[in-house]
Amino acid sequence: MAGPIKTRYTIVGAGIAGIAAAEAIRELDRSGPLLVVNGEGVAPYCRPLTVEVLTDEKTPEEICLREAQWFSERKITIVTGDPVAELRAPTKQLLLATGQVVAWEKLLVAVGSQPAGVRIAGLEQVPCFTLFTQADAARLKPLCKPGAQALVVGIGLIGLQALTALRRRGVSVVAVEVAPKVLPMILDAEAAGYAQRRLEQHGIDVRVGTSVQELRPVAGGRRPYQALTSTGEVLDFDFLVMAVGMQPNLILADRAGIARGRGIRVSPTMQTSIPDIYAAGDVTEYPDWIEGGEEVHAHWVNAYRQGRIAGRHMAGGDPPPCEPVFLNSLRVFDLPIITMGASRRDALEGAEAFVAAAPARPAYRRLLVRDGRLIGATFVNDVGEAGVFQYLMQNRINIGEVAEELVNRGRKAFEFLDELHRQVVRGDLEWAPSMDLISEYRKNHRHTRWGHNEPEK
Amino acid sequence: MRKVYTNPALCSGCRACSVACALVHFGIADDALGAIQVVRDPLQRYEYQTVCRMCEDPECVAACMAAALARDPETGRIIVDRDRCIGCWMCVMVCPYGAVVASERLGKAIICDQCFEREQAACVAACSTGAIQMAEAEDTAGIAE
Ligand SMILES: Cc1cc2nc3c(=O)[nH]c(=O)nc-3n(C[C@H](O)[C@H](O)[C@H](O)COP(=O)(O)OP(=O)(O)OC[C@H]3O[C@@H](n4cnc5c(N)ncnc54)[C@H](O)[C@@H]3O)c2cc1C
Repeated sequence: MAGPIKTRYTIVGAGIAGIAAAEAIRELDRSGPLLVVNGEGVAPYCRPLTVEVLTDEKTPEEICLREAQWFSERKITIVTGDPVAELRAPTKQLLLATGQVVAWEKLLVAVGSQPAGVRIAGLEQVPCFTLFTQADAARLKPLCKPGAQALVVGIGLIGLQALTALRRRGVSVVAVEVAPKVLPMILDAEAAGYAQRRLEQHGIDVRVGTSVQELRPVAGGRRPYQALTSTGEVLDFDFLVMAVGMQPNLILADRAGIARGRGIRVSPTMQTSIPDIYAAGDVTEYPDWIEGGEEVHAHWVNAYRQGRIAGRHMAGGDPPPCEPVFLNSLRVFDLPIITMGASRRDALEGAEAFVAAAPARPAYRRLLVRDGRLIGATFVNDVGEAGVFQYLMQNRINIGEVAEELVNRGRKAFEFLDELHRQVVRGDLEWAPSMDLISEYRKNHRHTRWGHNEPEK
Repeated sequence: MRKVYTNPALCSGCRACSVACALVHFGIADDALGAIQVVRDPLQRYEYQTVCRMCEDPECVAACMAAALARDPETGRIIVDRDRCIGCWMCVMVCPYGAVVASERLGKAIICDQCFEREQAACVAACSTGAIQMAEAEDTAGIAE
């Protein structure tokens, strides 16, 4: 074996966090040797879109995150299919599974997460799948035939995506969720009601407040396997999809002695407890300013933002820190839902809820506001301008005065946003100069400032 | 870099801009397909146009999982690759101006292309009150702190 590969920057994991970091490093340092190591033996891909591969809506090539050319153009070396086996902090090296040694000056751990498991009696006796990787999708695909019966355990984000894909392929689905509502980590009870009804309209047999107690094969039954539930029912199925959540991939960090809770602890610039080792994405935890405790903010936007912060700091930049909040954009068949922050809470100490009154179509919009700050937002079947709320939440803008108007799209809300979003318009930009009507109007009104429409005193 | 500017104080809420935009881009007179939208408070008479502000460092592009969005460095406009877009609305979730149109009809995001191939933007031409104008941009992001 040749000697160690010498790098300035090494990134472990080519998910969105790792890619965003590589991109950010190259914005500041065009030539420092940069290596990305990915365990999976395929080109880096968009994890959430594995579902689209399962339903044949996208090919594996189409969900590629960055093509080989992207790396070569930026002088980034990428190794795939050779996972990091060991991370040696004191000597600033790491060891790949093939035995190759890599030396690094700055290291980013962006190894993401894996499906969490639960112990169920008899689990090893039934065909059990997860849906996290392209390999998972490929394994599941041959079973997705019309007429097949699937049991999905867990109706969180991944359970939802799995059952949607299965249904689209004509599979019958029964789905169980131990919490009393679907998408319990994302939706409040009202929103979950909308989601559950939509699932049922699309033929999903939904069982909330139900857990699987035992699994077993049956000879000569309607289906080859059975599940016994906590509610005393028997569910027949051909195969099972486990979707009870995710857990950060901590093996490397633990062996290297990096401080962690449920995920790797990071500073606002994504540094871990060991100098020159950074972490970003699903593998990290971070104090959640809304709910107080440390949380694993496992979502795409956070992984991207954290990756960028890490990359910039590794390359000597001074990135503005970004405090993560939960963000979700999901689809329950044809029902779009966007949620932010503490959206899953029906109520939260010290917070007031504002719900849109009398929506024009079946829709649900709710804001949670505490001390004037937006700490939770839910948009069901009416997601327009949701990004405005993301901005208000992320920047902790005081909306105390206008919360009610904001959720109802009232005049004061728009005036408030006008003020916030005021643009610097070219001084000589005349509004409607040619129209007499307007000229007359303008005599009586000032609108030199954005959104202001006050009569001249 | 030219850019569409809007002035809510001059907007009557007629949505001719949205219809003109939809006609020019899709050949359909459906205001919901316009890249410029007018949000209204009908009771208190307020109209507020939302249209892409052409951020220099666009959040929508950063959030796109499907790699369907890109910023054209020359014109500053955001390009939506409709073949790649899967309608996941991640861009809608992060646009600070609420300016990405989530079209359930198309299942795709619609973002203003500044009518870069036309001399005059369709919305500007259609607006009867002069509430929309096209001008060279001085700043691109322009969020007041
Ligand atoms: C089915 C599914 C659907 C999802 N849908 C959404 C959604 O709609 N919206 C949303 O916001 N989020 C969604 N998520 C979550 C989102 O995918 C993650 O938050 C995001 O991908 C995290 O990025 P990451 O880079 O931190 O980790 P990952 O994408 O997990 O990437 C980590 C990479 O590191 C590699 N790796 C691990 N260990 C090693 C090692 N020892 N050596 C080398 N490489 C290693 C892994 O193989 C992997 O490629 C979904 C997730 C799943 C599974």
